[in-house]
Amino acid sequence: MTPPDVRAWMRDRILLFDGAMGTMLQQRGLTPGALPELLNIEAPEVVTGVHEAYVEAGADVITANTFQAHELKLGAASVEAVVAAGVGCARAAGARFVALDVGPLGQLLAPMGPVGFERAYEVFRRQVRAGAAAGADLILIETMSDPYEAKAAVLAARENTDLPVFCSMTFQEDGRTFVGCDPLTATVLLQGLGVDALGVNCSLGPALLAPVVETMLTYAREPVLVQANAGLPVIRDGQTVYETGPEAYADEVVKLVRRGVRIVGGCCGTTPAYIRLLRARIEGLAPVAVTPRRVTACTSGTRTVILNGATTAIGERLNPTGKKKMQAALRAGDVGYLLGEAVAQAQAGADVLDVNVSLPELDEPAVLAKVVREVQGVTDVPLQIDSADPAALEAGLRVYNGKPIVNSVNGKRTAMEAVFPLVKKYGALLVCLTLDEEGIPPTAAARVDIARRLRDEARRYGVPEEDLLIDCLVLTVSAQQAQVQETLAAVRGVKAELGLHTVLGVSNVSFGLPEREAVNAGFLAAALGAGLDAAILNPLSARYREVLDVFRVLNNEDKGAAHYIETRAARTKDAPAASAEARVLSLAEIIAQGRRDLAAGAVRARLEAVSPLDIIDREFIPALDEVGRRFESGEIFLPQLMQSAQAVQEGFAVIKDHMTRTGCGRESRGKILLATVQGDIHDIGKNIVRMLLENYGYDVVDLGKDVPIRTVVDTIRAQGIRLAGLSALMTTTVKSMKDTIAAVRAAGLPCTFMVGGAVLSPDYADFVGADHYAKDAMESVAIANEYFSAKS
Amino acid sequence: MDRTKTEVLRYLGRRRQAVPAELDALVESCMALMRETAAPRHVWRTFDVEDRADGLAPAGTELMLPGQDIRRCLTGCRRVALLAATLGVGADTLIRRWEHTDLTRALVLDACATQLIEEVCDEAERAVEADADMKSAGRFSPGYGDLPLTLQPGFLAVLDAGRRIGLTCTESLILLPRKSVTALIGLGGRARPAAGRCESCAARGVCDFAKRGEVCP
Repeated sequence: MTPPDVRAWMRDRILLFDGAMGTMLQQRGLTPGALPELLNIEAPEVVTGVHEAYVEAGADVITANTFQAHELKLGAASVEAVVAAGVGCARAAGARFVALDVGPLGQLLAPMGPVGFERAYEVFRRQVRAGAAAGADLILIETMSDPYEAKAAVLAARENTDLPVFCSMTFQEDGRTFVGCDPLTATVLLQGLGVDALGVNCSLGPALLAPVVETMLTYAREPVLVQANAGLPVIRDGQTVYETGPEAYADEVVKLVRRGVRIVGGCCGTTPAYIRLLRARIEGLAPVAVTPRRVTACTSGTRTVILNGATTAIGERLNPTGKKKMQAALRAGDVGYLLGEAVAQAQAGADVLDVNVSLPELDEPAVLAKVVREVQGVTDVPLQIDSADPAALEAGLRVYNGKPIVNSVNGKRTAMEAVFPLVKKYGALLVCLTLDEEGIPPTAAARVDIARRLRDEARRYGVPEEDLLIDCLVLTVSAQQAQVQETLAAVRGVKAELGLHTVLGVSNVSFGLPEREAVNAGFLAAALGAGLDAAILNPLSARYREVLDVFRVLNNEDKGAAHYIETRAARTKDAPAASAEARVLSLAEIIAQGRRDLAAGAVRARLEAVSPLDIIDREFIPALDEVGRRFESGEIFLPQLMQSAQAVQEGFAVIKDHMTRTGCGRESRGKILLATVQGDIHDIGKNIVRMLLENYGYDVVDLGKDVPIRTVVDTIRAQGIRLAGLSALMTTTVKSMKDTIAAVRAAGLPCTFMVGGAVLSPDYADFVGADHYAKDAMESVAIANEYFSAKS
Repeated sequence: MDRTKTEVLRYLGRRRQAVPAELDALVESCMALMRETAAPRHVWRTFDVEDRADGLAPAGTELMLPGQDIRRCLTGCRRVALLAATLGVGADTLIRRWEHTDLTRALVLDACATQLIEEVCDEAERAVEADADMKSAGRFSPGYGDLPLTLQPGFLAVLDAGRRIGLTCTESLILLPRKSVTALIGLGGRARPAAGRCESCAARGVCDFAKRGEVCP
């Protein structure tokens, strides 16, 4: 007989899970630090015994002892065997339902740690396939701190099994997970991924978890699960103890059930006594119906933006269209430039960042995925994944950490068939363009009709209407003047007739007119007045920010005009002083004092009198040499050297711009590769070296950190690099440095190596086979100068 | 100047240089920002010290503490505490974000984090002493002297540090989040020497301060 589906079983019941496994195994003699999962094979009777106690206590679901039964923890032992034995133990105990337990990997995901998203997915895939093959009835993904890791696990479960998927995360006393995810973000994100239940477990006792649970109940459309610890762990006599007893625990859990929690059980410190009492207390309690708040929300991994009642600014600058610098950066694979743009937009107040990388010659899916991964590493602002290519959209959606906005679908049958399934699968807000096979309709009414069709079609795919953002399309006022009012009328129509959220890209309107910013700002104000919810624009423009800030006051969003007043006050404070100082300081003094704020202005002024090359050779380099000398002699220390270098960097940017505009270039002084070696993920020192080398006019190919040996070899070969700098921080990764140099030498490439890093010493430099040891960043400049002057 | 700031400046490589006003203000603001962002957490357990044939061990665990340095450090100690502490990933993320727009600020934040994790460990060490009602003989970490870094995974497992404080270790034996410490604390032996008493210190010969010709604070 097939057992009933757990989802059907719990339709009119509170579902009861079991309690702790680790606590019970340690009572039975498990050594602290040993892998409990190995007992499934080594001592199955012990594991089954624990399960039996929970079955006897009345648990509906028994959680198999497979928390970390994955290849990163088990090493050589077979994942399949340990999982099968674990599911077998739970089954043998007479469980009504057996949950495959899937815990975190025990390694941080990139960018915080070394495990890539796809690697995490593979590890989880192996575990869930093994669980399904062994006959588990559902998959419980639990104790997750990182929503990105949870996403990898949920995708693995949904793509490789047909089992129901429950996912719970673990929150600390500050209401966030270890990586900073809050309960609202967790709820929106997990719901988007289509889990069957979501919730919280571990960390705290049920009383302290109540506010987290309350947030989840407010927004969750799926059943909410709570498996708390037996109180907050405290240390007594050098041991961890849990001090909430079964009675108090059950009292608190029942309160949560009365608020609408549908699935309960226990985590660390709970025992069959807790579960038995809980069984008695929930007997006869019917599930409490909750009405979740339906909001239009997107998230990053740690932050949620709710569009309801909040005018939203979407930054448009991560897009190569019409931007030469961005195009060059994308072609060169220089993500650093894009990251700078991303951070600048976020700091300027963008609520969401659009990411578009379409250039005809690029592999768009691969590049979009890479840029999404990198950008989400430097900002917590949610992203809008922008492409006309469904394959690129899926690549971006897959590696995105959060619930993004997808830009876009339109009323064409082929577009809807390609995009709606992706949005349903990964969970996203979706920009819907009001055009179809016939093009853009000239009337507002026809655009509202397309919006209605898009909404109805979305429903068929199971994409809720609150996840749609209707774009009524902005045309160029210089070409189609009458159309601007149609767009505004369509925005009003979509709001009034369909009640959907709206979005517009405002910058198009001004094409072909002088002072475009003025036109855009005027249009933005009109569109906001028509009820626009989200505007795609350049957040670095003070003019647009002003319109938005004022509108948010007038629209009663910026309460008490607090934000408006604060930003105006900050603006009037520092502006005049700086320009006065700039007049009295020479460029050399500005560099010596590390005045980043003054450098660009001073260089612009110098460019009126002096050639760019002379500024570099006669002003930058002598000033830097002097700063370097003072650093070497101990007159100044590292942060001061760096501030001077950053001032030069600001000046360099002005010179580069000038050269691009005037077309007068300059021979590079030489090309240098930099990399932090494989296994090492700390690279601030390498970044300092990069800045100094660039200051001295070298082209730096920066491969970043944790760089595979192969990548170093291939890049040196492909780009004909003759001088390379490697950094390592740990004694354990010095070996990796040695292997990297050996591999380059073995490939017969004539490359000179300089090495540095916290643990490096002249002895180590010899050991790894390097040519030069750089004790600090200045020394790497001296080595480069010597190398390239000897060569020329 | 307050001691905390002096420490941060020391991590930034300051010996005796004057600190310009702008840099001083930068350090102040970074200290505040790091304190606001970091989520310090620690976990510890104490064990009897067991002298096995192949080295010392926390009793009841499979963790071996090989080498002469830890033996010297635990001389006369009846108990040993395993301590793990971290500032959380928020500190790392904050530093990483500034690396793209202001490298100096990133470096100063990094130094602030280094100072802060030491402070967290100092507090934890006092809590260990209070709980055990014994004096600490000082902290000694895997990677110091001849105590191998390969201890890290087992060390974290004994404390269940991944689940309890979100602390992990890579295959290269790097602790993540970056600003984290694991340390052994001997209890009931010779008390921790006063600052600068290098000849009787457990970290003798492997101390970063001593390498720079300085003494610890």
